[in-house]
Amino acid sequence: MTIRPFPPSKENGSLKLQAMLTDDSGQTRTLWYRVPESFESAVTSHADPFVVGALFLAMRLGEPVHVEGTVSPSLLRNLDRYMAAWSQWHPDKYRRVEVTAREEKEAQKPATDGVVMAFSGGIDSSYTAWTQANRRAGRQQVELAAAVFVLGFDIPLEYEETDYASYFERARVMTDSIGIDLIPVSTNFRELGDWWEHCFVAGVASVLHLLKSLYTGGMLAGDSGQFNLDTKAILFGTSPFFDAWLGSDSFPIHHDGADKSRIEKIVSISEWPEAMRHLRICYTAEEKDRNCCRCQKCIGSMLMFKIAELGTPECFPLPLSDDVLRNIRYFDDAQRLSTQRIVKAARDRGITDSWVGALEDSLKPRMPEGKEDDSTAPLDPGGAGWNNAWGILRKFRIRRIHS
Amino acid sequence: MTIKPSPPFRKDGKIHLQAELISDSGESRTLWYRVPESLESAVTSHADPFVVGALFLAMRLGEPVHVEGTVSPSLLRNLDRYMAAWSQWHPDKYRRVEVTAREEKEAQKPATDGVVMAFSGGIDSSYTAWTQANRRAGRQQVELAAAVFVLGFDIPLEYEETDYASYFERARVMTDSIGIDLIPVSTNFRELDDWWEHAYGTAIASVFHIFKNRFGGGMIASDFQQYNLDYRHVDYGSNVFIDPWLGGSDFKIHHDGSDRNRLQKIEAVVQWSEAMKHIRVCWQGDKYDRNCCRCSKCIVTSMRFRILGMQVPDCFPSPLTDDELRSIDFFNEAERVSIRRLVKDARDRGITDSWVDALEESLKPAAVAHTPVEPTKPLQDGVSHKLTRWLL
Repeated sequence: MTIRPFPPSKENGSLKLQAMLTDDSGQTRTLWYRVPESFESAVTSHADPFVVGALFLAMRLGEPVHVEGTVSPSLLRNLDRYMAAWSQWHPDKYRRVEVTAREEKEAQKPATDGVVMAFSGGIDSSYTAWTQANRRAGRQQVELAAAVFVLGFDIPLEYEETDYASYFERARVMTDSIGIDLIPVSTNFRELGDWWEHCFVAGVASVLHLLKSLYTGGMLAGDSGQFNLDTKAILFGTSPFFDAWLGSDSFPIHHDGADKSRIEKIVSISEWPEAMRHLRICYTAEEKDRNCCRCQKCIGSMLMFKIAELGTPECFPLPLSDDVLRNIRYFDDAQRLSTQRIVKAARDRGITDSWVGALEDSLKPRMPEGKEDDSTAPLDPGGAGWNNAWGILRKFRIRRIHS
Repeated sequence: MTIKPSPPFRKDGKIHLQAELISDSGESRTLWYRVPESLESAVTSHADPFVVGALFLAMRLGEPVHVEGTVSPSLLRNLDRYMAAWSQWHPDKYRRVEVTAREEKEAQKPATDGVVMAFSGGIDSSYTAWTQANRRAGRQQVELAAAVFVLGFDIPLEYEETDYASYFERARVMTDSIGIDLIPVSTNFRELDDWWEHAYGTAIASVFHIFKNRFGGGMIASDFQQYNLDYRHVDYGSNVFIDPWLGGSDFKIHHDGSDRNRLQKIEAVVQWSEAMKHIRVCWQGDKYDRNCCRCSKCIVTSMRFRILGMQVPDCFPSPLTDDELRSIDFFNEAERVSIRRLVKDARDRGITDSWVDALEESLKPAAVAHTPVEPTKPLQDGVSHKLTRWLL
């Protein structure tokens, strides 16, 4: 595969960076990123973002990669290790491939020490932003200077003209309140068709690499408790063990927050009023400025607040009933596992409220999927029916990718 | 706990580096390292080697550490992460503790980019030395400049006056042949009595840190785990994921060879004639300078040569007969697992030789009834560790 970066172009106040990815069969794909024109001086002239962004595609194709541009050699070294790991974990899906470049040269470090993080407005990234901005990260403290908010990852590109502004605004209220710049970035990374659960960190890291002329490193907010060696969790794309291999000597990628449980994170950010109003857990709510309070992710987070005896914050406008909990639908083992952990956390703290029993009931085996006739039930955006439809789509996509 | 390094001193042609480790209860331990006097200029004035060396003790005691010396802040940052991981894996054994120092300052990088590795003369370190020295490591290539050979790790300190010299000599023949300096180092690290299977990565890294005035980093040869994320494998003293956290930005710790399994490593080093004569994998025989050919490690390694369709090399002077293979006594489940893997590797390659059948028979339940023979040398670890290992 050849990665051919184009010179950046300006359009509608944005700077567009793109590269053509041509595989050995001649098929071409375009990978692009857009950042505000005001960040022109922050944008690297290196091809590093494209190499990181196209990594899973290259591993899937199993073709050597040549980059028609300049790449940091220490990044290539780390990516080689990253590929070695993924190709051992999934030898049927990924190969470790050779990556060469027209020029190998370490990117020059900017004069000031500032790190840019990825911020979604969820619990993990809020925890990292809050503790770093308030210098409470102990030995893991960095000089957090800015955050990127990405359109094209969990928020689909087609939301650009509709809901994106509202999502961005909520996040900006949060980052403004702690003195961190929030940079909107958009990308078509997901159009490359990689398995999202594997590649999303590479996607995030590629965005962070874009800004290496202004920032000295990138930071990823890790999932909770990820030093725990649950293989299923580790292979979910992000880990304190290997995220650093998406960085280089000149632009290290830090993984933050793996030493804290979800409840510890929630307790920490409960002191942040803007977070309590604007945390964004899900994307399925009809009202884009709030969480649906009915999907497994929302429910899990709401219950964590309950366990931590913090009440339900304003960002969750609907109350939870035992019936709602009893009827949670699970679309994969990860969701089930997450609920099991909540039950355990509650039991460990001696909580015997009825909601714990209801949650346990939700984990009991039910009619096999497809045997239950709910075809007459109307789709209820933000409710169980909506989740069900999303789950079916997700499964279909997974099957397609696997095939 | 307080770590109090003493000024280095010379004695018997060696530089002695030591620190007193005083726990909050007042108990005092000494951690020391000895290196040849000729390497005086290579030795760091930082207290980093002691901080890394005393890390598991500090985690076990669960006491904040203060270092009466200079420590690299980037090392402290990484060690904090290292401790966070171990304390999550074993909350009953280890705590993440705060480490402070009289002065925090990065060590000055040496002018050259050379890397020092740990060399035991076994398969893993031979593979790393051979591929790095011959510049066959691809993107993982470093400028390998030297290797340390440590007395006090798998070779007990009391062997200094007996077998150590010949053991060192065999290793030196190997490293000389590829143009790598071999540095003898001794340490009483194991007297701190940490669980060796957990602590040995810190032990090796602490030795590397001694030489940070001369080398830009240290390299640990990978063990069998590769990139395996299974809890039972990652939770092991050295692996590709956590070893870099034993270094700092001024002195990186590299972990090499995770992309190869043992068979692939053997396949690479067969071209190294000195290795075929002097590789040493055994720590259970009567002599440390040779392979006993009777312990499970010797058996597995020598049979791997057969799997690759090669003669068992000279470094295994008396390979086992089929009858002897049939009546192997296993000391623990780990040995049994390694033989089972060996048989599987052989079968996967369609090998139907009689030695494979003999090994398979050794695994049959009847073999469990064998009374394990006494180890051929005194227990090196704490008895409780040995017993637990046996039980597990």
